[in-house]
Amino acid sequence: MKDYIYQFYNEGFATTFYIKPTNFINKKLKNKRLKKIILVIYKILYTIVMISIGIIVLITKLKI
Amino acid sequence: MDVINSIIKAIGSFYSTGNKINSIIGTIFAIAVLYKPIYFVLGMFFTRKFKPAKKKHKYGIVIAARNEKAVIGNLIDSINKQDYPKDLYKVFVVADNCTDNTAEIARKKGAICYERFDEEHRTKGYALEFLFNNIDKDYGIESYEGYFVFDADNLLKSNYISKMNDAFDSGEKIITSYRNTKNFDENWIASTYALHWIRSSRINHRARSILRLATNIQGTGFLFSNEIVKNGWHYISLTEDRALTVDAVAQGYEISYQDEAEFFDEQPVNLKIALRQRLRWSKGHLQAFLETGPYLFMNIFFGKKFIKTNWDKKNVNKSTVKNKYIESIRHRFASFDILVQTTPLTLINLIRWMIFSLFIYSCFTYTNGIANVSMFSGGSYLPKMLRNLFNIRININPGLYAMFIGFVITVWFRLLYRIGVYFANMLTAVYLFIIEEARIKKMSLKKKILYTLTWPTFDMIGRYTMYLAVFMNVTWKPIPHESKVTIDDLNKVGKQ
Repeated sequence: MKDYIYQFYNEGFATTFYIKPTNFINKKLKNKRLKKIILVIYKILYTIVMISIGIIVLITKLKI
Repeated sequence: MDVINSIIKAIGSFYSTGNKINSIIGTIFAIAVLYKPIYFVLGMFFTRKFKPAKKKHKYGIVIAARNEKAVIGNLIDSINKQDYPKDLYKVFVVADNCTDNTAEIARKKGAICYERFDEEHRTKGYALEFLFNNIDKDYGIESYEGYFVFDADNLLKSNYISKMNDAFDSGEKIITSYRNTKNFDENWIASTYALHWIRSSRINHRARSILRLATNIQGTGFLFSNEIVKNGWHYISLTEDRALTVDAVAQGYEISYQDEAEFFDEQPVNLKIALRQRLRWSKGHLQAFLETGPYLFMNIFFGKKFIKTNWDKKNVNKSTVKNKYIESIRHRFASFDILVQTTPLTLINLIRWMIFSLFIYSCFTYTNGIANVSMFSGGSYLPKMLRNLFNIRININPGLYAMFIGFVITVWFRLLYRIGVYFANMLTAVYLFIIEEARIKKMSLKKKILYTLTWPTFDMIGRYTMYLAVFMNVTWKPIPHESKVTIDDLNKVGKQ
């Protein structure tokens, strides 16, 4: 399970939509507390968006 | 004339019943492929990973080459650069009907090379059969725990064998790997092939490996345990990979996938050669379905009782799934899955369309005419969209003219559906370019747009070569490889 969670946040879509933005946030934000909050919010956002995409793709493909 | 009239009327009267039969067949097919979206979503996020191996196993690397002087040296160089102990693998080459110095280059690079001259038996399967017989005779087939199969135009990443060894050490008996492309951006033909291989990995290999099913072997870049060739190599058809896949599944083997083991392959850049290759694939596909489809079908219901070629009766650890009930379900589903993949659905759908839509509907219009039929009929998104924009209706009185128009609009509706599919397929290319960004060769946006536009031609060509393959006698012809790209060139590009 750990392996799959790692893949979710490190490979495929994550390289473009998670790793790159989080690297950018890490680089640009100096305030540690603010950075932490934004990173947590971004992680939640990324998780919700990706799961939603998965569900939408599944439903769309099943419909077709 | 009256007789013809009566026949057309009789056929036309079957339209309503025929429609129902057609819908039932369509529903059965739709249900049969209902699991595919799950593969798609699984492959989107996950793949199976293997722990680092505890033991380094000994392998034989087999390469079938026919006039491959331009590429064979680069492949052996990439093998010699592996981060795996050199004494644990040996390269065997079969120089098959070569008229150039392929054998000489292979020997110079350190490979054991056997030369074969037999113009009558020309498939890669025959070359592999010859090579395995010679390995058995000179070294003993069991001297090596597993065998890699490569085409001469391949190039391996330096950790390829190590990564495949991780999967082999975990108990897997047949493992495929990630197939990347040397010449992705050479032209649109090469790009369609490149995207096709990536699609296979993303949609089929990854999901099947997670579910411990069996994915399809794709000609090159795979490893199998020596027990499979204990009694020799048995696959001599046009597409030996499909035949091997089906036999493996029938016997209960898993065919796993190691995403971290990456190799590169050269794709055709010439349309004529590409069409020739696709025609061979289609013919091989049909042969594999006819030869082994019934065995797979029986396996779904009766377990591992119907096997075409039994490799090793004594071996019982074909799957890594230990629970016998789960293993039984796994094996039956894997048989079903590969049967669905092997079944030439495009051909069956064409026949369905010709009988029920084209033929019977035309006859129906002869007696009933065409009443208030939209110019954009159809259930897919494109006709629906066009119907909302344009409300063009066709009304024609019964008779020969109605029959002719009925025929034409049926073809038009099909074309409309196919155009819609073409545009929808472009999304797959967009998806692959985004999700595989790290592995796809860097190229300009202009090229990516062009390749997205041309990508759907891959499936389109496959469909028409499948139709042609039914009627044509296809023989194996070599695919020329001329790329001078080395693994060092590809590594340099990757680092940029």
